Amino acid sequence: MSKATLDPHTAAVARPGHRGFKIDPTAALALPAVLYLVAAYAIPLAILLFAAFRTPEGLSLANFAGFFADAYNWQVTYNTLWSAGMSTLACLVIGYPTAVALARSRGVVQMALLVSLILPLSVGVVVKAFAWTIMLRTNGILNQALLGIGLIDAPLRLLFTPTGLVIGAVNVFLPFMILPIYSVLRLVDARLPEAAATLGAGPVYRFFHVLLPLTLPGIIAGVAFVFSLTVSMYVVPNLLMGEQFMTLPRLVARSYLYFRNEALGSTIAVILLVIAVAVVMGSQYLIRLTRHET
Amino acid sequence: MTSLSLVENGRGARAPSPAGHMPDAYLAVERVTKSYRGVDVLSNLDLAVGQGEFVSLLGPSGCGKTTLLRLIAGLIGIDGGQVLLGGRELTRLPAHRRNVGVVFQNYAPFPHLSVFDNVAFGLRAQRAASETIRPTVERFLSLVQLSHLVDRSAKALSGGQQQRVAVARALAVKPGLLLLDEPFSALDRKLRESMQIDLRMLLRELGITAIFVTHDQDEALVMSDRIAVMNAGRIEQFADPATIYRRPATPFVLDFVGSSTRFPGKVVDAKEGEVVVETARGRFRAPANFITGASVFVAVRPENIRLAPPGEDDSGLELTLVERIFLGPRSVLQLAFTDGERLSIDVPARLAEPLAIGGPVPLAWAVSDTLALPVQ
Repeated sequence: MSKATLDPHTAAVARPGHRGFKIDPTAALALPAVLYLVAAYAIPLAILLFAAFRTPEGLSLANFAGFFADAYNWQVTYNTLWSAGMSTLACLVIGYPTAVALARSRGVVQMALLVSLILPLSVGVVVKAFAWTIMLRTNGILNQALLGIGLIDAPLRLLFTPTGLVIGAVNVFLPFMILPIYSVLRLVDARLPEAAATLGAGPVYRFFHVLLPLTLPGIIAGVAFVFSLTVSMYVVPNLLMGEQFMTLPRLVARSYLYFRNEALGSTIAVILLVIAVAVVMGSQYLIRLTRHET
Repeated sequence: MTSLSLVENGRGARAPSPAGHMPDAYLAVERVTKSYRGVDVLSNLDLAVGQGEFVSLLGPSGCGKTTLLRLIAGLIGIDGGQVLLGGRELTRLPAHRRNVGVVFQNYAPFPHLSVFDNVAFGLRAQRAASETIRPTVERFLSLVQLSHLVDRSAKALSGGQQQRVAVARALAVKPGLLLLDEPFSALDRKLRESMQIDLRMLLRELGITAIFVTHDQDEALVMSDRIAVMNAGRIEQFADPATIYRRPATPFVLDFVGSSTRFPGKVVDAKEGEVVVETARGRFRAPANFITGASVFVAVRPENIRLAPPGEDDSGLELTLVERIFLGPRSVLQLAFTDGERLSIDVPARLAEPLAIGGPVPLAWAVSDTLALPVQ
C-alpha cells in the first residue's frame, strides 16, 4: 500500500473513482475465515435455496405458495413470531435496567455482574431448557416458592404454556440483550444526565429525553439479536412446549426427520432466513437512521 | 484596608472576609463536610457569596473545589452542614429542584440534539409555555453569538462553540446561581482569553451570581470579584484578587498565586504593626503582628524588588551576578549568596545590561512590600 492511501483525503483526490478496485493486503488475513464460510455456509445455503425453489416443473415459488395456502402454517408462523416477540420484549424490559446497573457499577461488583452474565452462556441450551422443565412443573420450585411467599393460592400451570416458554427463552437469551445495550451505555457521558438534572429535568424526563435516545442503537442491536435468535430457537420450545404449539424451526426439523419432506423443510428454512435477514438489515438501517439524526 | 489586621496570630491566620459573616449572603455554604471512604474532602467549610458576585474557587487538583461545586449543584450528597440560596435551603433538594445551573468541564452538550434543542432542553423539561421557548432560545443564542448555528448538531461543534452552547443552555432557564467547572481548560490559550472576557461581561450584564472552579491563578485573577483559595478541603483565604496577590494570608496562598522570594526566620523584635525578622540572609522589617520568637517566612514579590541599594524605608541584599538570561523585554538574573545558594529574579532587560557577570548586584524593596507569614 502506498503512503498516500493512508490518508483517505489524499487517496480520494489522487485517484477519484478508483476506490474499491485496490485490494487491501490486510484483507488476505480474512482468507481462512472466507474459505471456511464458503465450505460450511455458502455451499449448504445454495443447496438449501435450490431445494426450496425446485419443483417438478422447474424453479418456481410453488413451494412457498403451497406453504402459505395452509392455514395451519399461518398459525405456526404466528406462534413463532409471537414467542420471539414476547421473549424479545421481556428481555428488553428486564435487560435494560440490568444494563444500566452494570454500566454504573464499578470494580468488583461490575466484575461479578459481568461474570454472572457471561458464565451461564457456557451452560448448554439443552441443559437450561431441561432445568426449566423441572423448575416450571406444577410441583416445581417456582410454584412452591410463589406459594410459600403467598403470592398465589394454587399452583400455576407454567410448563407447556406460552408463559413458560417466554420464561425459559429469557433465561437463555437475556445476555444477548444486555451486552449490546451495556456497550452503548458505557459510552454515554455520565455528565449528560447530570447536565439534564441541573436544567430542571426530573428522573423520568431524563430517561426519555437523554438516556433512551442515546442508547437507542444498543436497544435496536439487542432487539435484533434476541429476535433473530428466538425466532429460530428449537430446543427451548421443543422441551417447554407441547405438540399443540408448533413453531417454524420445529416444523423444519419435523419435515426433514419425520415427514422426509425436503422441499417443505427447505422452504420453511428459507422463510426463517428471510425473517432473520430482514431483522438484521432493518436494525442496521434503524441504527444508521438514529446516527444521521444526531 | 490596612495591612495591620492581616495576620492575627501565629498560625493559620484568616484573612478578613467581611462577607463571611454577612447575615444576608445570597449563597451561604455553612459548615459543609464531605468525605469519601473516611477521608474528609471538605471539612467544616464556610463560604458566603453576595448576589451578582463572581467568585472563583482556586486551588490545586484534589483540593476539594470540584467536590464543593458538585455539592452545591446537588450532584453529590452532603455529609454535614447546609447550603442556602437566597434564603432557601437547598441541602436536601435533588439537583433538578435547585435552580442551580452548571457548565461542565467537557461542556456535556446533548449529542443527539441540535444547538436549538440543547438550549431549549431545560425550558421544555420545566414545561415552559411553548410560545416562549423559541424567543428565549434565540435570545440566549444571540447573547453567546451562536445564532448562525442554531440547527447544527451539538456534537458537530468546536470546543469553543460547545462551551457557548453549554453557557446558553444553563442560562436559558434563568438559574439562581451558575456554577462553572473549569470551563476554559479544554480551549487553546488565545480563544480562552477572549472567551473569559466575553463570559465575564455576559454574566455581569445579566446579573448572574457565579462560582467558577479553576486551578489556573491567572484565570482566577482576571475573572473574579473575589477568589477563595482552597487547599486540602479548606478555604485558606477569601478576598478580592488584589488582596490575594498582594496580601496572601498563608504561605500556601503566597506560593499558589504568583511567585516570590522568601526566607525563613524568627521574630526578634515586635512592636505595634511591625516586626523584625532574623533570617540566615539578614534582618528584615515587615508590617505584621507576631509575638517575639514566632517562626515566620519573610517574602517579597519579584516585581517589588529594585536593582538599587536600600533607602530609608527599604530592606536590601547584595548578591553576586552569576548569569544573565536575555528574554527580549525582560532578563532573568541568576544571583548567588556568598554560600553559593542561588536566587533568580527577572527585571526589565535594559536594567540588566550594565551589570557585569561576577559583579555585585544591590537589591532593595520597601518594608511596606515585605510579607511576613506564619510557618505552617
